[in-house]
Amino acid sequence: MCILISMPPSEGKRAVATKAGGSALVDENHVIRIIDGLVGFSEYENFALIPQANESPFLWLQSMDDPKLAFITIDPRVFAPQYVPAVLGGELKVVGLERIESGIVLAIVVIPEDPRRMTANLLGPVIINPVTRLGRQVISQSPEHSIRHLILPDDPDGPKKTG
Amino acid sequence: MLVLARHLNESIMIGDEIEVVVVAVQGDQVKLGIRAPRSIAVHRKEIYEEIQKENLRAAQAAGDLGAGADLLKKELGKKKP
Repeated sequence: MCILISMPPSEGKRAVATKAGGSALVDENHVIRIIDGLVGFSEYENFALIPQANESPFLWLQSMDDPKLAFITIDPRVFAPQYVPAVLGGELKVVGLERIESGIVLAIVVIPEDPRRMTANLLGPVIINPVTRLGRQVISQSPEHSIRHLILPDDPDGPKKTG
Repeated sequence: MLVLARHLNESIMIGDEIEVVVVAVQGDQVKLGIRAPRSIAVHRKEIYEEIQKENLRAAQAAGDLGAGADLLKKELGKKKP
């Protein structure tokens, strides 16, 4: 999983109770603090990044404060290689980043009943500094970035694109 | 809610570090300038609320993650040369 490879080598491991069930052994360096938490979840700052499965593009953003709170995330560049969130410089400095290129970018995913219509929030991505392990949910200033970006291309034989 | 009337170019201080200035008034639109420490996020309320709702939706969503991953892997596999 290329995102996790970009983080510095491990110091040790930690057991984390997960929403998916059971306990995951997580590298210390995959434990992050999201400053002020996610929007609407300001009390929950401590998260672990856990790959969904080997070779899966998805990562769980698992709360360490409440095992029932977890988000599926993905690096949007997996399906939208040109994606660069338009983040104000001040937001980057909060996590200690000089440039967005040095950061890990994750979009929170919603997988509805029909997984073909799964969407990623490109309007409010989570930016993580892999060195400080600080993160923040920021808001992209670009009008092109949708809060429900369809991850899979529209199926021409399927239902019309909404999102 | 505290309600204060301000003229063009007048300000409000919120605590010691946040200032809101009336920068322009055009018809029924008011342009506000905000000075705040960078650690404090400042956003249009409706955007903030949308993100909040979508986060909640994501936290509650119970779609089949495995199926989603398979679909995406298949899609990405198509693009390989």
